Amino acid sequence: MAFSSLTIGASGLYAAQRAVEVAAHNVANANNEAFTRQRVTLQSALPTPGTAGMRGDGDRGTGVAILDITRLRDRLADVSYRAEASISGAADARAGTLARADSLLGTFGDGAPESLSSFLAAWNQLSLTPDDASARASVLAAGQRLAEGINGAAQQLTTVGHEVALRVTDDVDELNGLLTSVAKLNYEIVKASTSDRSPNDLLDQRDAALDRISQLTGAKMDPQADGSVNISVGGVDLVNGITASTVATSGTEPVTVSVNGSTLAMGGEIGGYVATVGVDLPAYRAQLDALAVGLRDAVNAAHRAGTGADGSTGRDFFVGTDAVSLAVDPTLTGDGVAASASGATADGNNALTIATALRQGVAVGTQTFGDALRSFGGRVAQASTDATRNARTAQASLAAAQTARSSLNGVSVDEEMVDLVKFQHSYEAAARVISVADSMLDKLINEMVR
Amino acid sequence: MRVSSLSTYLTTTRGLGTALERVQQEQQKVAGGKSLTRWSDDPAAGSAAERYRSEEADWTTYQRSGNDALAWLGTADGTLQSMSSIMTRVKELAVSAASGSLTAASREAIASEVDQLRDQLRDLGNTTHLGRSLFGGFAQSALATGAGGVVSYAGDGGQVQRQVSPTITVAVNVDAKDVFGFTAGAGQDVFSQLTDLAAAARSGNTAAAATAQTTLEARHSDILKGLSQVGAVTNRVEVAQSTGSAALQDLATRRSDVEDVDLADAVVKLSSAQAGYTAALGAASRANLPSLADFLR
Repeated sequence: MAFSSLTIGASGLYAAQRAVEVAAHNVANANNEAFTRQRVTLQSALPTPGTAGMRGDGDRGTGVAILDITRLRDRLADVSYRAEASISGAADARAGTLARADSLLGTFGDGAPESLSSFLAAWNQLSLTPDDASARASVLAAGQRLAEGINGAAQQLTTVGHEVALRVTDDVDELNGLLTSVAKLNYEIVKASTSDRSPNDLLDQRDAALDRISQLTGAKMDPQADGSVNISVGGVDLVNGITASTVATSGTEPVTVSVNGSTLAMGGEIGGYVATVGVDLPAYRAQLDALAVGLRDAVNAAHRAGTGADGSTGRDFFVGTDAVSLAVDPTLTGDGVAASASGATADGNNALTIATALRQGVAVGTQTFGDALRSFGGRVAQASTDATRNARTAQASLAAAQTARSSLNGVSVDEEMVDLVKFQHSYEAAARVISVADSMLDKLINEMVR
Repeated sequence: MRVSSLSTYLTTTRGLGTALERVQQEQQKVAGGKSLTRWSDDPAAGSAAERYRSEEADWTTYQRSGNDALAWLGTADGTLQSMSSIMTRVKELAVSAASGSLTAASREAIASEVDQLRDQLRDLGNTTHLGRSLFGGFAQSALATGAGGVVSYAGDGGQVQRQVSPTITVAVNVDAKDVFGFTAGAGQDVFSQLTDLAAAARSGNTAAAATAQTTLEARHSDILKGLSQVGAVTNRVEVAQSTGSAALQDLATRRSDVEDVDLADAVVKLSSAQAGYTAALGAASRANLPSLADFLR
């Protein structure tokens, strides 16, 4: 066929058009984080069958064919990004939770340690003026304030636990949505692949979902030969082919996540929340309870030995069994406060004994109550600071992984411009080929017949 | 390394965010004047600040107790001084009464002066400080006057204690039992002796007056003993007070060291952070360079 140059030219036009389309698609998605740049893979089209023994009529070229439009995606970058996303998710969750628990002892410089100082000062003041009703009242008030400081801390722990449980519920809802969409995308992708299409944009969608799932759970992702991806946590499938499991959460403390009743040990954000609310908060609660009991026992032992202005002896000052229930005995009146050691109302020596017992006596473990209270505050603050620092480091690693990945997968406008120019020129050249073929045909048909 | 539009954008926004965060942190420090606003800003410094604060509160309490103790001791000292001068006068009178060369009128004069001084001494013994008996322990009054003007001990021997430092607790009162010799045996106390002296003076019993004189000598030394006890305790309290004010000053300085912002340093850091932010902004405006698209027609 003498004029195959027409069809060859047409194939060039077509290829150039398609390449410009792809470049346009890339430029349009230049700032889409989930997008992976695409490339047209060109191949010379199948040559004509030649005539045996005639090299001049050998397999002649028939133009260009578009083999495929591929995503230029780096799998390794995905793996490292998702590993960092899981670590960072867990660290953020922990830091966020501990930062909420950071002010357990109240405002810094005006919290429970300061209430303790006021309480001690009130006892000392009472020892100076044991017959002063207002000094008695202020001992009760200062004791109540200190007890409320400890109640408040326990209350705050409960609030934080509650918030975290709600947060996990939200995350699990989101996760279930993502798992369903991954299963759906698996189906679409397998279908497209088996019918020899390139489901590039579906793959991008699925990769975005997988990124978020990694951040939430740190789950294991297994790409399958058919193009689908299976997701599992600790051997339990979350997505298997086109089937997604439903993750459930307890919604209250103790917070757990499970699939069909089997508890999952997750990583990521959900795992971070579950671990913090399951390990750190109960530890804080136990320490607060020890503080409450230590305070109660230290004060009560000294208080019982004294006599009130109303002659009562052997009375407790604090009641309650833990950090939540600690309170000044509600039946204790100002006159019941046992300031007197001898029984005389003008005697304030037992108030002094109580203050000294609380200041110097071992109340919690091997520490005085004040030291134990301050070291508790210090520990809580330290844990929060450490968690925040870890989260920062993890965020930096994640950011580096993200930058590295987007520099591999992302669109470079310059490159696309070069492609545009390149294919514009090849379009012009292919058009030129057609116009040459056209003028040759014109010569043949219109001028030779006449 | 390949540079994509997205990676440039990510790097730029991240750089701007970090720089602005630093500006905000430094600004907060300069504005608040505190480097510690939350315990977790610096847990170690926070714990130190809390410990200093608690020690400061304790020392403030001890200082208040110390001032109260000094007021007690001051009143006791003044009262005991007056008692001591009364005793000096009483002893002079006893010497005169024992001399035996006096007219009945002079003896009566001596006797009535002794009576007067005895009442004065009793009133001094019942001195109160802020409504509390100075020499009676926790009791309402130290001395009771019974039938026939017999003065008896009405205190309870209670020790009024004041904590003036973490380790020092002092008793700020002296007891009437010791001061007036109620411990020396029946009839040996200063009031019985003065009654005896007055009676001896009236009756001209020089031997009895001489006995009373000897005993009163011992009672005077009891009062002087009380005075020196008060003096010694005052000394201890004063030492504790000055230790306390030094400790308070020291603690305030140390707390300020960990808690307060070094303003000059903070301002320098703030302007350095601001310079960093300006640089990041400049970098951002240059990073978004025109692309090849701008050069193609």
